[in-house]
Amino acid sequence: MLNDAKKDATMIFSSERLTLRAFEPDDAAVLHAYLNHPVLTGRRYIPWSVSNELPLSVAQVESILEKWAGAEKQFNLAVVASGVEKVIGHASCDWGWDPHCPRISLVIAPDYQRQGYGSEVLSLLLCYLFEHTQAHNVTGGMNDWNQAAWAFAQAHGFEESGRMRRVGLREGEFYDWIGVDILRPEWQALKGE
Amino acid sequence: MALEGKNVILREQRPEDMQFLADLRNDLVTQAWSKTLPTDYTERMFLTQFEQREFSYDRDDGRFMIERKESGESIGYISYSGLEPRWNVTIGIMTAKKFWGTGAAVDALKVLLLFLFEELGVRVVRLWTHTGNPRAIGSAEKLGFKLSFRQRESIFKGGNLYDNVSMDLLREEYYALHPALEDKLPDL
Repeated sequence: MLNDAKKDATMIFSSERLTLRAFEPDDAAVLHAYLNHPVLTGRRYIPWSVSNELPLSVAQVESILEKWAGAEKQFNLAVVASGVEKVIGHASCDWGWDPHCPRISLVIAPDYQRQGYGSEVLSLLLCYLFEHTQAHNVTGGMNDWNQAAWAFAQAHGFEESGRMRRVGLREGEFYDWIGVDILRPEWQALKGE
Repeated sequence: MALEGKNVILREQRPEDMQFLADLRNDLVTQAWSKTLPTDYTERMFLTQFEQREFSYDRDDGRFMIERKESGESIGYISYSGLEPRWNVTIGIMTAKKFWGTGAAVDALKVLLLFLFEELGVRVVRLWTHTGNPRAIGSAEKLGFKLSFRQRESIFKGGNLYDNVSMDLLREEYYALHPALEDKLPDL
């Protein structure tokens, strides 16, 4: 998939089974549906003080879409499954601090998890950032209770870069934020370059 | 009660501080991040920023001048930002080179930490620095901060790559270091 993307620049944001495209106002309903799914409680990864736990209204989700559309030094793309042409998640990247070390996140709707879509999205993101931008260190992270995300990051070559202590409270317990990152040479080595 | 340490006072910023702040920011050594370059800040820029600050009882930041108690001389600048009430906050400090090694920065940080834990009731205080600034890391460790998180090779400064580093200090760690204080904030 990575090699295919490299061959054809128009395919940077597409793989066999999915496409990353800009969000449109019409996507509010599907975004509203999956962001409110109980499985995504605490792992929506929406900035601007949007609650990670509380139910979101359609108006709040429309506001998120408006902010995404106007946001600078970041992109927030819809993950669209080929064939069904349905939005099944979102992929975000923020280089507001420094394009040398962008921060990424991705969310796949629960109904489509564990089917390889997250891996394809992450591969597209890394390929874009390391082959089409000046990124040297791509950073991400997850709450320490989110072991699935931690395992996912490790499986794709990310290393733990530390734990920011006590970023929140869940079921009566403090939790930490696990920082992960991958350097360009590490990504190139994984690709066999 | 003033925010007062052994040798320093933390006080509000005033218009006459702006040139000092511009000078601090224009020194490649005292400013920490390439993000803040170039070193062409003017007194007017800082004055504009200062004047844009509006009155509010709901602020999430605080900005203080560090002043030498005995002489009134400006030593530097200390701040907190991103306050999540009763939860966490991030601090920053910048001092003029002539005061490095005098203990003034640690003195000012002690005053700010006391304020944050005892008055604002935060549970975690965080700070960011980088591995090219071992002096800052050492000062923070002296105050009880622990290195918690790093972004590898993400800071470019002076022709070198450094790790961006976050350090944090938990409430119970702070009170354990200050047995004369009693923590009366309820446990969660």
